[in-house]
Amino acid sequence: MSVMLEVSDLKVAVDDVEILQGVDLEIRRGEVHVLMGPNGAGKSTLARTIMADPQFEQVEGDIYFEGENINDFSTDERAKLGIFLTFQNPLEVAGISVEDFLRTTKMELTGEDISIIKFKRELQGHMQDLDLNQIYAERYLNVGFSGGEKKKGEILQMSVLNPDLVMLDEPDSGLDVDAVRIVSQTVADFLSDKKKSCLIITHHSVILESVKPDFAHILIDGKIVKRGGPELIERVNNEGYNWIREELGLEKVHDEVLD
Amino acid sequence: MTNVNIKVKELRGNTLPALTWNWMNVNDVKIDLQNKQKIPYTAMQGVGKIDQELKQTFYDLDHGISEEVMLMNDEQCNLANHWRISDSEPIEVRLPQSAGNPLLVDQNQIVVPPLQKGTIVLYNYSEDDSRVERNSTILVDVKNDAAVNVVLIQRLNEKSVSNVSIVARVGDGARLNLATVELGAGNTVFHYMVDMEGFGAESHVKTAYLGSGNNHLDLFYHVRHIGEECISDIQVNGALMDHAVKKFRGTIDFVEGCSGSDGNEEEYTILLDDTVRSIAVPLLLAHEDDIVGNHAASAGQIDDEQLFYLMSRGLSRKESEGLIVESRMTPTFDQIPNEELRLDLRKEVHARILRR
Amino acid sequence: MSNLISNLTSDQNVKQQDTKRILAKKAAEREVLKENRRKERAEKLKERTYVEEFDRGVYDIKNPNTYEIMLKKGLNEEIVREISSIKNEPDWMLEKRLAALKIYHKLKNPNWGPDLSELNMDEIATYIRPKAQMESNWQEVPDEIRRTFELLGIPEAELDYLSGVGAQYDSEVVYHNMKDYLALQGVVYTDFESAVEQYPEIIQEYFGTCLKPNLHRYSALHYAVWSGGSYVYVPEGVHVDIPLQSYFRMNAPGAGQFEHTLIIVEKGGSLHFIEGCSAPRYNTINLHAGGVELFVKEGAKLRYSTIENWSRNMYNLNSKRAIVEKDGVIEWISGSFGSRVSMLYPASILIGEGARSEFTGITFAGAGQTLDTGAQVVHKAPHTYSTVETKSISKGGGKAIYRSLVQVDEGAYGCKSNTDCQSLMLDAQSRGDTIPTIILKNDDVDFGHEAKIGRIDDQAIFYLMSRGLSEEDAKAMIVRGFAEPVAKELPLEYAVEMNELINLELKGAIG
Repeated sequence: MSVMLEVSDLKVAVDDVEILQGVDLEIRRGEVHVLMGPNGAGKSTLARTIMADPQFEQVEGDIYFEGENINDFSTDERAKLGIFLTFQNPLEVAGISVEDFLRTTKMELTGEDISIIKFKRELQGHMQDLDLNQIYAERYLNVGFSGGEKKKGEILQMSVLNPDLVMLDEPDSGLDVDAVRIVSQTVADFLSDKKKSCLIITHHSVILESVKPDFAHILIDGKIVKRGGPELIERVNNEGYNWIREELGLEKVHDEVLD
Repeated sequence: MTNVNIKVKELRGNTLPALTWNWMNVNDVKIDLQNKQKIPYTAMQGVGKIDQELKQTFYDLDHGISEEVMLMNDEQCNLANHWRISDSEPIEVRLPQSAGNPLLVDQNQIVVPPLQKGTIVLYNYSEDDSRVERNSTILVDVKNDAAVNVVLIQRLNEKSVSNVSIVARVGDGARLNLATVELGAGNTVFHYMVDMEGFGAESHVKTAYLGSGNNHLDLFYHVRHIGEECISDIQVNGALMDHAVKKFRGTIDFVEGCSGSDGNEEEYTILLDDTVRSIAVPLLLAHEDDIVGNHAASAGQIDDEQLFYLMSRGLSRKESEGLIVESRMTPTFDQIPNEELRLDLRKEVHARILRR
Repeated sequence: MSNLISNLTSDQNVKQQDTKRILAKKAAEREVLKENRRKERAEKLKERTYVEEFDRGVYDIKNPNTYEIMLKKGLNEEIVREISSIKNEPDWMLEKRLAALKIYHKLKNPNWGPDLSELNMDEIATYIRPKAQMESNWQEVPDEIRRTFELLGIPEAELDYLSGVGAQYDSEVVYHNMKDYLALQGVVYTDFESAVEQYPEIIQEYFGTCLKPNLHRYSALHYAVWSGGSYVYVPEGVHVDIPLQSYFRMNAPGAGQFEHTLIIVEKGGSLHFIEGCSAPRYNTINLHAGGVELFVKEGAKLRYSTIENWSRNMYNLNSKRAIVEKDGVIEWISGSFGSRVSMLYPASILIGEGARSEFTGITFAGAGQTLDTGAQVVHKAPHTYSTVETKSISKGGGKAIYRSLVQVDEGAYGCKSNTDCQSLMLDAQSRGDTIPTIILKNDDVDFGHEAKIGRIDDQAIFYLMSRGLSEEDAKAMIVRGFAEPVAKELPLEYAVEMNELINLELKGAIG
């Protein structure tokens, strides 16, 4: 299968502090990758740099999408290529309804006019999948949403905008058991045709039961220090990261929290 | 045509109720009304008959952009309207201007009898690119337990001059909702003054503006809490681009005896270009302690994180900016009952940001 | 047809009657509501008693008016020349005085702000020399004057937590001293007359360049008749770790005090300077028009704290201004309690990249006072930062006005500014106005402003009373809490003084 995303020797800094110190990553079409690591390791930084967040400076390295170097692509250009990122704390945009926003965005992405009625129907279908109340579409984007509604909203946008590569930045944190199940199932269904790829950042294993990952990467102190398959995820979930630190001769952290 | 005797001295108006440092040039503003003659306005016939007594009551008050401007309005008046608002369909008044109608000097009286509710929209716009002038007075008398939505939309072209004085009186338990949209005129001078005389009277103001080109906007609000337990708010949202200059000057005045009153003003400005000027003078004057007054203002570029979020969904930078500016104006646009007009204004805002 | 009309008319009649009935009902309901709400509010506000004048303790102690020199009241060229000749000044200083006098005559009182019409320069003596020489040992200071400063706690404070003290009595400095170790590091702290004599080049270079005589009428007046004040020089890299304090006491009635303070903190240096002022109360008008010029060089830091407690017959028309260079920091702490009328807006001009200004102020306006105070910040360089945090309290008919300017100039990119001003009104007779101006001349700014005005929250009083405090104590605690942001910026002893001042002020308000 063809390589969808390739990240090579990526170094990223914010305010002159290097957060990623040479990261390599390759994701092929149809693959699901998990990015794990202790808090502050740089997981979100990697995803946000792939999305060209201006607060992070790409100091060195390259990012390729479908074989094309996208280093100079702006955020929206990357989105148009089919890259999508869910935000941990999606922003509130008062005055613009969820429906308005998504229809405008979808038209921008596809370059086609989409009828209001047709779009409404499609949107309602996706909302049902996520167990979102119909009134949700009319509310202002993320304004006054509960934590769960915000997370579901991000997944709803993914479903509607239909990207090729989805990066899910802790899509499950702060959700109750039922909501995690619903979100997991929606993501699993979305990926089921094996034509799309996915990078998940998570601390939890529940979502990974539905969205079966093919590979796992462990990011510590800005470097990917270990790679493996599903067995690696299990070991981290059981034992934390200290055994990896030990293997690598890094200083052990004693009060590490596995949440 | 009659010649009107106007002194040659420079016209100034919208004087702050409490003056401050002169060198900052925020105490008043220059008025650019050049017309000296009475010219008819042909696009509309006057509605109703002006209530002279009501007019006098309001003239007795210290009101309007300035005495001279009010005098010019009276002498050059070419459209007079008097509405009694009752529970009915919204009234929409279109006031086009063009080379054929270069001057609109309108006097409007909006009387809302007790217990009545209604909506009136005054929509002033350019039909061509000729320079036009408007000098308008709008008197709003909201009687006890009545409620009215007044919507003013201004879309003259950049060469033109818009001067609008709206003066209102709100009775016991009555409510005035004012929505203003300023999308045009190279020189815009807006004046709102309300006396909340009644017990529990309310005044709610929402303004949306977009300053572009060489627009100069002077947005002046003076809200007086006179009766007990009056509630007011002023929400001004807008964006500035190109060489636009905006002065927001809002005063919430708590007059002695307005116990239990609550007044808020909020002003948010989005700065889209390096060359804009944004000036804010938000006054709170309290002569009464049993009140709550709040003011918040902020100005700056669009938040990077917000832009990044929208762009990550595939919207271009300008498209995202347009969306954010539009979103800020939504609360004002929502006051317009005519959906077609609302969409039209949204499109205009969006298009102007994209054209940038 | 006629039937139809009569029907219509009768319909209308019915409708009109309905309307009238509903209206009458509504009006009656409202009367009941009004009555109830008034009662509730009256309950909340209860009757308060006010003490018109109260004893301000040590601040009010008057000394007999015995002077070596007291120039006759009024202002003209002759008087200005006389001040200059008494001081035995160089010609250039006299020239500056005369130029300023010309400006003074040209300028008018401002058309905004408090009424200054009562202030008549013909009734003010601009120069009064006490019967004392400047000393560096308190024992040498004449008993009467020394006793005043002792009661104000100045010599004691010098021993405990200051590294230098200057004490001015009317027009002249009577005591000036600084710890030796600072002098060894090159720090200069002296009265302004000595500075003119000893450091003429520096004074000529800086004097009147930060605070210009033409700024307003009373800065012109200041430059025409200035007398006394302090000069501080902190050399490059020197940190003055313990504060210096200048205390200004006015004893004479119908007089003016016009001290000039000039501080230069060189590259990387730091200083905390404290200014205190007080006067006993008279029935004639006194005038204070001091001038403060602060020069904060690259990477330097200056904290300028003021506790002002002029008596209620004082017009305090003071001017303060700081020029801050690259990465320099100016911190203003300002407490305004006294005076009949104050107009005071310390200005920070941020001219170097990374410069910063922080203003923290509290104003307490009691009966008969109009305190028009605030701050000004001009961002002239990119990436400069400012904060303004103010608290105003008004009671007993006092007027507290917050007035400010924040300006961000063309090309001053990446600036941040935040303002938070809160006003507390303790009764219905008082006034609290907020008059800020914000001028932004480029788009790359991050600007925020918040203002709040109102009375003490009943819920807060209720909460504290439910924990056992009396209503009086609860209110006092809330007011102290309100003032806390300023108090916490002051050295402990001054915070205590400020709290005492607040308690003194509150005694009249709450009872």
